[in-house]
Amino acid sequence: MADFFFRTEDIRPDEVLTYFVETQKDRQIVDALKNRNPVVLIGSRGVGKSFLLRVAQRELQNVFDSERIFPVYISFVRSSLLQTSDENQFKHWMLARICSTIIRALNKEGMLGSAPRSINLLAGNQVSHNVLSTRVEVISDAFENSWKQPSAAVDIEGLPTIDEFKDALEDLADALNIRRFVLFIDEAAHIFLPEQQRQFFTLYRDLRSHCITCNAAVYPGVTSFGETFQPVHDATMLSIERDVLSSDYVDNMREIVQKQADSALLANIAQYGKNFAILAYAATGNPRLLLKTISRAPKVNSQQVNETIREFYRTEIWAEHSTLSEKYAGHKVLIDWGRTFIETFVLPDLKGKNDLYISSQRPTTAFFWIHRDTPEVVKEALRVLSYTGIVSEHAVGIKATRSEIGKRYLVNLGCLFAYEATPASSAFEIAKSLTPQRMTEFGSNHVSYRPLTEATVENVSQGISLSLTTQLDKSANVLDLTDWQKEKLTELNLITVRDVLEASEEKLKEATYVGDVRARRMRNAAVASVLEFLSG
Amino acid sequence: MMDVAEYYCNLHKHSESVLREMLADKDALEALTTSQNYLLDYEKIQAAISDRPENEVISAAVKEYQFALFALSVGQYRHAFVGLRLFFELMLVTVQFSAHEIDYRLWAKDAKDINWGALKDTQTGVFSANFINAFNPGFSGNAKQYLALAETVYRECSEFVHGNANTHISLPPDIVFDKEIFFSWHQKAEAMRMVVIFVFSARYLNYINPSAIANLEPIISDVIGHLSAVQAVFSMPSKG
Repeated sequence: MADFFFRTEDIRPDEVLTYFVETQKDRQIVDALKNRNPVVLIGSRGVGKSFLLRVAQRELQNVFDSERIFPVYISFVRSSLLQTSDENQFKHWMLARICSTIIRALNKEGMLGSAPRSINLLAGNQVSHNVLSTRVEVISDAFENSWKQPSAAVDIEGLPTIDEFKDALEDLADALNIRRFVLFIDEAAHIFLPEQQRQFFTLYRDLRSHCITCNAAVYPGVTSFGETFQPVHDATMLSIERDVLSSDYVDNMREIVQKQADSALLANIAQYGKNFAILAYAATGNPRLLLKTISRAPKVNSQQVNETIREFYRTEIWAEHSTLSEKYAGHKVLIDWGRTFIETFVLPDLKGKNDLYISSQRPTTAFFWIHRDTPEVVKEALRVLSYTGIVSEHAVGIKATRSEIGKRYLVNLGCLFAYEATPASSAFEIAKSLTPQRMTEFGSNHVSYRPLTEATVENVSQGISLSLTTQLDKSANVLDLTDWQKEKLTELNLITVRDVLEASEEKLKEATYVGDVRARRMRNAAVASVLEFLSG
Repeated sequence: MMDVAEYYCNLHKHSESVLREMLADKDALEALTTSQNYLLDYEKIQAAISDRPENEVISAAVKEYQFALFALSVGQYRHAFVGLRLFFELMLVTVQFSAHEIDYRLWAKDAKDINWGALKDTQTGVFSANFINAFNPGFSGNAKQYLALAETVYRECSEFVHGNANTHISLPPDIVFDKEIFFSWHQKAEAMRMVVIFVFSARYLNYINPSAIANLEPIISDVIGHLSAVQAVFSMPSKG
């Protein structure tokens, strides 16, 4: 069975178009990203933000000769590894990253020749006297040097300003006959670091210029925009959502799988079309969830689909959510409450309603509604749920009973299906008859909020600082591994996350019944989960 | 009677016209600039292992690379491919030397030759499972693929070195700008860069200091960032 690409970063950038399944909505987003107006792309984990940024970048590259618009993809994923208390560190880290990535991209396309400093050029001194660094290169070095020592405070004296950077970039654009630089900034702002979010959006706003368009991809929970950036006004805010109610939803999701599947799987999908549709609906528009579940149910028969839905959507989808409360101890109450709320109140209520609706052949529901005056901490908990994709915002300003106004959410359909005794026989009906008209309502003081509002939630609004050392010293049990694999880690005395990260495959093979293949899988799983764990 | 001086001056003029024609072609100039810029990457690689004796070999390699580029720019295509192949061998042998310092010392004293067969040897060469597992097992799963690429690009250059029949057909008989050959050189330089960066990453990434890792990160991520072993290295918080 073929290995699937779960993450865009595993696909070579030049191959990204071969995996692209173009829906009308995706096309609109890609076009908006290529356009002059800045875009902030919002989506939960795994819905395809990075992928669409890469597609837009590739398409602009393909028409560069005629359009002269130069795309640059920049990932800020490593920003969460930055440990510092100096606020200037992060700002200069961002600027350094942006500058050096632009220069590298120009170097790679052969539009800008840069001179090595330590390699002796053939023509020796004659050349090096003539080769002057461009201003952007000089600025890039200055920023680069400014943040490299996390312990030292950034000396702003003598550092270039953002305006100088913009000027330099404009000069460079003129010299190279480039009409505009389009920046695609991925993983732009860290979900639990409001200060980083504020700094990012302030920079984003400051970078506006006639020759720079800044696009950014962020998670739904990122809401601290700082003082100067105004959403809607300063950028088009676009959400990636694949509408499960649209008639071509299953077809589109099938195409995404088809781009990566082998013939055996394709045959099974063709044979068990309805089962595949159930997995597609369960993923609720999230390709990564679909690829993960289909790789566990390659036969696509009812037994595998039942097992996968139950195991994956009842426990595993929550693993990531629960990991968050380990990582961000300050948010623990809030994160744990979110799960309880969904599992104790939302899902059972929706399930009860659907049983009734199905038996009387009426439309079904997967929606719930939250009053707009609901306590802020409840809304924050819902933001965390939308970050991991357990819920998604469906519509705002919705009138409910007695004309009260609030926000409508869609709960992950897989989580809802997991409550069915045999999802393979009942889930399809639920999915096909969904209507947003029906929803479970939660008023501004619903009883379910009480444990959260009454708990003393410390530092929820201020966020917490990441301490990598603490994360790495945690028990390896927090990693997303099977019980068997965890047992093997214990056997090898690999106790902490750090131990696993630093263990070689050779070390892993010392465990009984672990050979080359299993060692590789364990190490890959460990690395992948550490990545997820660290990137938050 | 032949005026030898004038004859060579004429050849030189031909070469210059090849250069001018190439520089006037926008795509060609960009390709040349891109290949020239690869020196920036090799410079960073050399800096990352500056405390190791074998790093000196890289100086020799990049010099050959520059001579090859120069030959290419003036239409000396066969020599351009010869130089490129030598550059490639020197880069790979740097990694081989890192595990066999005695060979490096002998080579530096002219007492040992570089042997392509040894470099690509599936038991002991720089792509072999033994070699890669010793330094960074995470890369061993991809080694075969990069060895295949290395062998192919090496063979393609060798055809020009040995003067295989088809190279006599494809190379221009005179000193003229040949776009197809020119671009095929750059394509080979790019393939070699991939291989070189793969082999250096597999050999050294576990052993160089955090600031050198940070310097190499953009280069390595750009070229082989889709490999899980590479993602693993760069997800590690710096230990400094």
